Amino acid sequence: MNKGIDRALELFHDVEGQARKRQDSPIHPVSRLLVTLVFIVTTISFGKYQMTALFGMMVYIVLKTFVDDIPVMSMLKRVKVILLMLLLIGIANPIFDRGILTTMGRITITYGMVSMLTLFVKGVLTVCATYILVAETGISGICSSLRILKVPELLVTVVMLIYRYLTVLLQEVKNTSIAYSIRAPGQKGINIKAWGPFVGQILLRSMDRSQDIYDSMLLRGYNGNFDFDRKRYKARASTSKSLMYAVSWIVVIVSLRLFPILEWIGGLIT
Amino acid sequence: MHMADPLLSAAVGGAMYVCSGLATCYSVNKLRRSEENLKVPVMGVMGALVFATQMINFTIPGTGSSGHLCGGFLMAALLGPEASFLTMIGVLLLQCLLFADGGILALGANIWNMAFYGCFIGGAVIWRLIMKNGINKKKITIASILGCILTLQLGAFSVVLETLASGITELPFALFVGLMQPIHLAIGLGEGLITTAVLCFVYETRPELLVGYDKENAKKSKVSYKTFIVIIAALSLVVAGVVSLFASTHPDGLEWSIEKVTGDTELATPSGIHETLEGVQESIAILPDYSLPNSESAAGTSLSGVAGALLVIVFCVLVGLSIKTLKQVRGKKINQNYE
Repeated sequence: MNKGIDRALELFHDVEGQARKRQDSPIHPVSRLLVTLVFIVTTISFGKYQMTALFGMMVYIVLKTFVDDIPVMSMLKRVKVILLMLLLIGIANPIFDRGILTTMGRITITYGMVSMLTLFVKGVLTVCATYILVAETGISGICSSLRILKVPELLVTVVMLIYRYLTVLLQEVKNTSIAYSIRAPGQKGINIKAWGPFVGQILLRSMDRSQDIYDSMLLRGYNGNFDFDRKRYKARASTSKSLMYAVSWIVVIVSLRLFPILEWIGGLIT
Repeated sequence: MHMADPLLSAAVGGAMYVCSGLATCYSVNKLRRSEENLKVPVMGVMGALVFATQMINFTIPGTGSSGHLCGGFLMAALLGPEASFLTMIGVLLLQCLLFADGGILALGANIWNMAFYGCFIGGAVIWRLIMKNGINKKKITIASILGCILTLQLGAFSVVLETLASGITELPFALFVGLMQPIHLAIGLGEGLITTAVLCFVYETRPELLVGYDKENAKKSKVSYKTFIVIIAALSLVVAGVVSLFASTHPDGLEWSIEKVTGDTELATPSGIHETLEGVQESIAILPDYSLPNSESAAGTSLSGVAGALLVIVFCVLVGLSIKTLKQVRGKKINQNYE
């Protein structure tokens, strides 16, 4: 019954661990966020039959993975999540789009097949890019960037608080779930009679806890403003390096989109 | 229902960011003006709670399957529409960043599909309308089930429109809608039941936590089925009137099959009784082919949707009255037998 919670805790600790490893990076999180946004928008902008050109975008993922030592298996675990949805939507393409693109021996490749594969490649690339961003900056880095980009403070504070209390509540739900399964052995889920009390009890405890949290925040001088570690990022990040990082990556990404670089390189070999 | 980045074009993703951004600005300003900063830690903890409870399976009796809590409507009933909307944004953002549920480009669309409908249509419209004259368990049940079903239907319909507008799938509109809406009807019902159970528990233990709870009116309030029927009727009219504007001009599944077999969406009309009956039908049909006679206008299509909804409501009322009368007759007979 607790597989989902265990998996969530595992992914949470993975992200936290990755971000902690890179907390002394001289690149400001805003630069990383902007590069990721440009990468995702550029990847999505490829046409549905432009699969080969899309492979060029892998340059970013591969280089980042090697240079920044991003764990590939953790990254691919997240890809699994979206594959089912992409399959459900994409499976219709080979069925309805049967125009023949080319034949390779006896195998006929249709436009629908290519558009479905393009969808998968886009999915893999965008998920990998998001994971790289989170592993490099952490959630606190992203929240800090959002404040610099003028996202309302109230919203960013809520995101930060959800993140801070996520592990606590995941653990609490897990404990309640274990307590329930001990009393009701062999059940796959929560029985209908226990739906209300199960979530309700945790909810009431959480509401009381939030009041305690608010009181303690007030005692520590909370006046509605969070710092979001902006001073920390400002102190260790190098403006010139951050700027150079952002500009160089954006130039590479946009060039990969505008020019058939892979074809040129292929032409040199063949 | 989380949409991934590849399911959207950059233009549609951007447009959805603008829509969700406007709703976010409205919510932030409203909360700032109402000086409800007190709610911030509650929002954070509630968001984390919804996130955590989404991992739990709730066994749906008799089906062998399990349901999950999405939480938009639940939070709207506890925090109000604006605060719950911002909290849901936080939940969706973290789901996208930590677990790859959704995507950064698709975040605007996901906020709209899951948070906006759940919190504003569910919390600001359905919950407030039904709880206007006080809260009780029956009202909570009606509001939760109706709210969850309707908001999930709207969300699923938006997913279809956004994906098709992005030109990602080759699925025809009718087939896509036909796949998405019934699945989300079942999911909505499951979520509605879970939400009902939780809110009823809160109502029994700490009713003051619910939005719109008034201690003095609580005892006076009774379930107003009339209000419920009026709301359902009004919603049906709105949904029928608006959604029918998007009715596909392409043949439906059956017409498509006929077209594949015969080359035309209409079957050849044999002479005799069929021709006579068709003539009668055409002469009495007020809205032939779902539009005003000799008209292709959107108003005609909407009017057809409204008329259809009215007919269905009248039919349902008649069936309900018949069942009620039958029950009364049977009850009388049983009483007579006992006497």
